Amino acid sequence: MANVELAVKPSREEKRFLMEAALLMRDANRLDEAKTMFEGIIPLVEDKHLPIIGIGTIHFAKGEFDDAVEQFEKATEIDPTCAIAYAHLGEALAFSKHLDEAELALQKATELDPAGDNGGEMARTIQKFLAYGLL
Amino acid sequence: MSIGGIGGGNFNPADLTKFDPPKQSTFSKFSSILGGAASAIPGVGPALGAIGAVTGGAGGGASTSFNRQYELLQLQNQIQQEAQTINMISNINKAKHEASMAAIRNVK
Repeated sequence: MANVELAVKPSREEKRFLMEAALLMRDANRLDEAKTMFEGIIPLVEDKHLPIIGIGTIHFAKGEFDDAVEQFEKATEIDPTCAIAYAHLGEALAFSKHLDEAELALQKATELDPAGDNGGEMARTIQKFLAYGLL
Repeated sequence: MSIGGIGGGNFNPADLTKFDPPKQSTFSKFSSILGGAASAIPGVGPALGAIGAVTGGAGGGASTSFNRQYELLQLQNQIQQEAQTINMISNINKAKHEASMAAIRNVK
């Protein structure tokens, strides 16, 4: 992504606001607008994997699970310690019927975030779904 | 298992087996209304509505009573399973929301 010098330097609070706005847009089912927002946020933030996860969730919401997996994998490559990325990756893999790989990704997420505050709990919940055979 | 979270009260499916319908018509109507009201929850509405159909049959001897109890137990089991599924979906939505909030918190 662009590493150009930005004319505007948003504060951390402003970056959070933009991320929250994009997530709200996604949850309001305005998926294309939300994707545009996430793409715009990428050059503004240091943790570029977070808006990339956002783009992945939009593909997931559209049922484009392979594209979602691609985005979440990209996020795990940028930050291999991000449990949120692995939890989402596990979910997308499960929905695309790659159950063994899904289990590995979810396991990784729970190892990275045993407390469950940053994606670990999400991974554990999806693991329960898998164990019940609901996915 | 209590499914109070769904109905909004402290309804326990186990109470169904203790419940003796006072009158066929009253209970059938009640169950139909209950089923209709709960129809917003996938699966639960039809199941509750079906209670009226089961208990609405003509009363008779001990075997009819036994069958009725058995069918009620089956319905209770079905309701419990549906409640459990709804609970799991609710949990995953909560977990996903918290993961989104964590992403916002972590932005630098």
